[in-house]
Amino acid sequence: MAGPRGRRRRLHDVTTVATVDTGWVIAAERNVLAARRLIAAFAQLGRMLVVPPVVVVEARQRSASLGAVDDILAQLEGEPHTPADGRRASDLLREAGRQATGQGIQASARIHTIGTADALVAAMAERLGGIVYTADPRHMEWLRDAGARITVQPVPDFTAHSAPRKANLPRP
Amino acid sequence: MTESAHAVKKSVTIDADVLSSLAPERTENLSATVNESLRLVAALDKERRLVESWEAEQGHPFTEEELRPYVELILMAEVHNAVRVGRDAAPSAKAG
Repeated sequence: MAGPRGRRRRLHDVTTVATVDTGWVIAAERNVLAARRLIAAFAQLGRMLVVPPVVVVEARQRSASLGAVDDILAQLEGEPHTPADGRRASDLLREAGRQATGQGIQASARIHTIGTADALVAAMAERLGGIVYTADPRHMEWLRDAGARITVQPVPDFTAHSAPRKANLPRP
Repeated sequence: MTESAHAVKKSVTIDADVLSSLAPERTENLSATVNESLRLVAALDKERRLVESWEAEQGHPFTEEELRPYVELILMAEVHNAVRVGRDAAPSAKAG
């Protein structure tokens, strides 16, 4: 269905979804009860967690147990990447590199540290409303500082924390 | 929210008041609107069934006390996101 500017309307236009990164999936695999409670809370509110294909690849590569990580991935809604996501991810990485240079850090080192996958996650999160759940807020915060229109939500209560951490307010 | 290439033709009846309440861009391609709406319902149903299976496995439903911190977290993230979106849309943000 074409919107006012010919854009096809998607589900995230009518409900709230949040995108997860690879660290979130790995953390969820390590504390299944906390992950289940978070997903149950999402269900109670009529919201959904969305997983990008690049996170599926990374999580399955990094996990010690394919069965366990597949169990977590099966609980999330899949969303495909678009060519526009790729262009946006590239732009964000370039800008993050440029900003790092201004701080005396090699652009290529910063870009390598962030990684293509997290840039794609940020691009998709931006397209799906802006909320991204992550186990490593640092990468997403660099991408946000590079212009990604995202709200970075650290993984709640999955590892050492006894209570969920509150969302970071975007920097002024 | 992925899209399927396989489609099935079905005849459905829609309440007139619902149809008239839809925004014009949603009625331009009603099949797409119906499909997107059902996709959302299906995803939420899948999520709900999953939670019910966990509750059956543990022998009791998740309690309000168990879920409250997570519900608060989700809602706070949404509030922060709304604040960010509002600030991004503000004229001063565009000028800056």
